[in-house]
Amino acid sequence: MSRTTLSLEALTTARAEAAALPVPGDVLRVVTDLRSELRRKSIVCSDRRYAQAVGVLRAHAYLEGRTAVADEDVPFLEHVLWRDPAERPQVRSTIRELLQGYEDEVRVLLYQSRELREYALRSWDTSELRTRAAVEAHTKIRHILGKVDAILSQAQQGGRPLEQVQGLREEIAQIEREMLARL
Amino acid sequence: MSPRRRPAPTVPASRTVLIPPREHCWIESDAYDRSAFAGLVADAPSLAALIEAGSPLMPHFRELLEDVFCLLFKLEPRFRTPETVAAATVLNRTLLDAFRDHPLLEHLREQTQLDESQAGLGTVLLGEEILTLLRDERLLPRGDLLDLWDLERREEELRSRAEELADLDDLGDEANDRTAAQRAREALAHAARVAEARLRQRAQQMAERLREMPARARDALPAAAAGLARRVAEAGEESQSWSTGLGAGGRSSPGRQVELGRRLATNPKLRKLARLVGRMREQAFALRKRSLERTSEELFEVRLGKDLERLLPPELVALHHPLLRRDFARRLVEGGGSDAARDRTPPAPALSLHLLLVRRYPALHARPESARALRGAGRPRPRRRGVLSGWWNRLRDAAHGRARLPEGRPLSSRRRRAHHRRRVSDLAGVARAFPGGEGAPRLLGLLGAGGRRPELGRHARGDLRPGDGRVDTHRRRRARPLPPAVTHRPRSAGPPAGVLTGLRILDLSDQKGALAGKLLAGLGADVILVEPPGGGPMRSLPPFWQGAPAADRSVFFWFYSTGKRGITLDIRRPEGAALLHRLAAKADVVIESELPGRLEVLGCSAEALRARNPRLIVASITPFGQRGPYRDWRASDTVAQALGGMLYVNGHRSRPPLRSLGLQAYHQAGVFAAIGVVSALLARETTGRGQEIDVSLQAAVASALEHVPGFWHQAGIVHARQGTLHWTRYFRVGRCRDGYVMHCTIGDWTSLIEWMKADGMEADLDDPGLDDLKTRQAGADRLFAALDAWAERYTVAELVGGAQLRRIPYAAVRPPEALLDDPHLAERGFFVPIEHPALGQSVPYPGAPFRLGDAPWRVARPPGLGEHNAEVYGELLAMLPPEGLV
Repeated sequence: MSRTTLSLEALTTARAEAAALPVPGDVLRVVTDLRSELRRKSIVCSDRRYAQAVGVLRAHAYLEGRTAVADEDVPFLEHVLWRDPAERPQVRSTIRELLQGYEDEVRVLLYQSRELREYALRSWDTSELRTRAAVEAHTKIRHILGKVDAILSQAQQGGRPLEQVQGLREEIAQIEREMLARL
Repeated sequence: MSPRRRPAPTVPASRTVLIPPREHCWIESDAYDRSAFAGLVADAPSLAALIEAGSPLMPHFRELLEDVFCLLFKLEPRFRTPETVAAATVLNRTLLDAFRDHPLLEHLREQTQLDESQAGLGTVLLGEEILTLLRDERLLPRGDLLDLWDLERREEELRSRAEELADLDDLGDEANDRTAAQRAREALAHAARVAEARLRQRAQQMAERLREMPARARDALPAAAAGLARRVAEAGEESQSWSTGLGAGGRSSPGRQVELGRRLATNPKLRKLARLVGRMREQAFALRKRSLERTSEELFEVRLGKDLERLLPPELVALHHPLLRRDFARRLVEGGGSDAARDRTPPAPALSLHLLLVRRYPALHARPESARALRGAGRPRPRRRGVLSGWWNRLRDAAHGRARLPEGRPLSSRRRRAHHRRRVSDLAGVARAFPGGEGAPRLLGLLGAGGRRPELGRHARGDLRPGDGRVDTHRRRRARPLPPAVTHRPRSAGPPAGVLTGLRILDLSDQKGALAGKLLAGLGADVILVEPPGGGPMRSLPPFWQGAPAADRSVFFWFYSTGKRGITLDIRRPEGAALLHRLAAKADVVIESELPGRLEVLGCSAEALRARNPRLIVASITPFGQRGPYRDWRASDTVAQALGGMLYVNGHRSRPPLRSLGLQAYHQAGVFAAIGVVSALLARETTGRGQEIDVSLQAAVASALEHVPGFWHQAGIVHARQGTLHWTRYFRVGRCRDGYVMHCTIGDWTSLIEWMKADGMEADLDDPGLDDLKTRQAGADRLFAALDAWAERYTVAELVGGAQLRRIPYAAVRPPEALLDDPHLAERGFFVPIEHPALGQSVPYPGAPFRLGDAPWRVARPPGLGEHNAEVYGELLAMLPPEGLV
């Protein structure tokens, strides 16, 4: 039975190489956001642990064969940032929320917009009712677009990928134009 | 999303049990509405607290609030059908039903539609009202509320039974022991059916109970919504401006705005504070704006509108006043340093602009008195355009290049120059006043800038006025004397002119219209009282001087005849009527109070008199006017009060109506007649024609009923007699140790209570709820009882003095004799002593009811019988008093 062995030099080199991996500002921001989120949920780890967590991220990126730490490494911290095993699912969901939460939010808003469109497209008795329904739907969708934009700009500041979300936003904007046309 | 949002399970035909729907909201909503409401609940602690407080009291309180929110928020709220909503929400439905088509809701919705924060604020405020009603059991008695909970519990039970049944159906095929399963199913189905029957019965009971619900409770939502629209609008505006205004970073979330708005809407002190902050904010903005304005010192093209307003700092306005102008010059000389503490605008820009305006628009500084002289003192002022004062008008005209004075007369060049000399001598002083002359070149540069009228700048400094010698010193220093005031028909004799000097009025009226003549005489008109040969009826009316009834001793007649001249004329005879025609041809106004048609019989109707003198104004004061079904009814002051509606509302609740003091109907009619005469005179200035004025005593009384017709017309409320309690319920006469005072519960309530507390007499008035005016209004009886008890320990003087010191409007109810000694009236010279030669002493008369700034009020001795016969007949008709007619 062959054992995977690593020489001491190789280990030292790997450690040095991993420690030299750059950590982009975006990732550090995610970690700090994560820290405040978890603190809000009363999951408080020491600052030392967080400092070490960055090392863990580097190691994870190194082992994944990347040349820099990336967002994809952050979910690994679910194994790091807890004090009680029961807290792990919460840490996991918090990380997910943080990395992809904005997308979910926009999706919910899209569903709301679709519902509003259906509402406006109902067969109304009179043209006045129809117009009023369209006005209501349009106003609400405009507010929704405002919210989406706020989420987008926040996500952009956080350096999150936006392609997916932009597509969702485009659909909402499309619905808005449709409502406008009905007025 | 909460489980209740799942669509109501459809009922398979085979199942006999009807599962109650899970929907608890009556108004159709979409995900957006729900998330908006959830966001508000999360963001606004007051809304969350409200839900927490209300939920234990009645089932589905949160859903009720959500419905209210949707009702306010949605553009087109639609109700669900009863079968799709759970029966336990029947109370919600009742409340919403009373609200859905209410006009108040429409009014409120104007503020709240599609505005999350406003709708949220409305929801919180309405919800709080409902919560209060629930707590006080004013909405439903406790028993009914418990029944409602019971209904909810039964619904829950039926739902769980039905679910069990469904589970059993699903399991049915897989069960090993089919008979046992069948038995269990039947037992369950039975239980469910029983539960369903109970539920139906309970729901029916509840529905009946709610049908009997008193209208007041049913209308809880509309009642709470009264006045809410304004509160919501105000609070919403304030909270929004707080969150987006100074010192706040951008918009806050709707929830936070709701929170702030609720505090503002429910806390009067905070609202006051917000208003103050608002004012501070305005001032801060204004300050900012002003600092910008100061940068523009030399503006040449001043146009209409805001431009002008922004340009003219207050200093410039101040320059209009001679005293302030002097102060302005002083500050300029002192360099403005001494005024730093007073935070005044530095004068330089204002001054330069002022000078520029003077330079460019000479007509701006035409003195008001010269305008007055041009049109003649005592004549009515010309009509003004718009609401601006004359000065502003002239400024505007000047800006448009149409410098002119009122009546469209341009200033003559001579006058203009004289005027400028006046200004310039001032300016020269100002320019010299600059220490070492610094700044003077700039000033003078400004003065000489255009060069169209060099004489303006010429006088500013010695070395710049080569042609100075051309102007006489006296002309440079002083304005030309004004021409004397023109009076088109001076009175034969008498004191200085009042505003109506030159106007001649024939007064044929008795006590019904005597006040009109008296008022016009006070204003300076020449009022000639025309009496029948033996004297008018007023001369024999009490009270009499020193109590002795005599023709020339009626104090009643004296009061109503001050300032009039008196002649006698028997107009019942044709010769007399002819003379009246001749007199009226020379008069401006005739005032009469004969019954309708009587003068016509004598050939002296208004038309006949006006046929000869179209400029004549005839005021007729009759009980019911010249037209209408009551035209020929006989009446007195009391009759007019009774038919005018005043008598009914006057007096104590349990007693018959009371008439008010003296001759209030006559007085009211007299005042209206005087107003009518003055208005007709104004109209005559334009049309050149007089007109008839028809004053009805009844209408005059009916015009003085204040709130009474309004309440009846708008609210169907007949205001009952309530003694000395004022109809607003804030004032009432009360007794104290040595007399009566007028109690008052508006004003500084806190100070009043502190005062009572210090005496240990506050009883139960120390209730914070009474800080609200409305509460005090509602509890007026209790309040005044406590105030009466307290007031007994004070004298009138102590009570009124103490209250006025605390800024509470208390008053002594004082007898007339105290009026004569009133120091305030004495200080203002209200009572005027008038010499009565026949009595050999002077008598104090009530003087000017109001004062005019420039013209005196004339109170002169009442005429003796036919005292001015010779004077008047001679002056007007150039004849001796006609024998046999006087």
